[in-house]
Amino acid sequence: MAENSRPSKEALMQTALDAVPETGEISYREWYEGLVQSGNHAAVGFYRELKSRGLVSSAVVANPDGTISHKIGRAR
Amino acid sequence: MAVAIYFTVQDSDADKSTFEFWFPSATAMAVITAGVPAIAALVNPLLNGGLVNAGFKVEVDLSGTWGPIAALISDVQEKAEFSMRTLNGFLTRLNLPTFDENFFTVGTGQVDTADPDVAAFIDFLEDGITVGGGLLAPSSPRGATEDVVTVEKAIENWGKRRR
Repeated sequence: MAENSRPSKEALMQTALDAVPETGEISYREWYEGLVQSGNHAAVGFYRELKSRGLVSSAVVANPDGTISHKIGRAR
Repeated sequence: MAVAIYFTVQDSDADKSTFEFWFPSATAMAVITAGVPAIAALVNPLLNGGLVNAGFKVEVDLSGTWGPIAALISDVQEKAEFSMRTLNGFLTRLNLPTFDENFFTVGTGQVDTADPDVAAFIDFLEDGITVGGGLLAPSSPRGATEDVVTVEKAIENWGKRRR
């Protein structure tokens, strides 16, 4: 009988957190696409959980050229 | 009295719908002014509609970045509803008309909150946006400074279907 290889919720959340650098910040889009391209699409759904637990924080900034920066980092 | 930034969008039938964001009255006017195109950059990717006008009692011309031409599939009845909780527990809702259905999780009536464009918009609702040298943080339209702290739900909110 084959084992159920589906990752647990906590494992997915850890995967999502591990993709956020220990120091500094990363653009949300880069974080998201990195997880998708590495085969961890399911982990992106846990961003809001990480935020609600106080593990990550975000910053939305309007740039002078009219673009928007959306960055996330480990909460201090 | 709270200050509102508004956007009026239209669909391919030229039907119009306006939605607003409320901010504390103490927010500097320079920040409010700079916030209009900034919030437009957050909302534009989520919608199929064309922008008719935007501003805070004064129209702001954004035709260079978001013109009035609407996608053929746009419809002001196709909305996403964001339910938000304020600091003191009040519930406030925002409906975005002409919402692009590609931002719904397939097979559900839920907005895909993980999508990068959606996530940026939600984080703006919860934490505000840094613009014009200040922080523009949405509040409820209750006439007081009820800061939005959490987006609890983001769902499909289609209007009445005509048969």
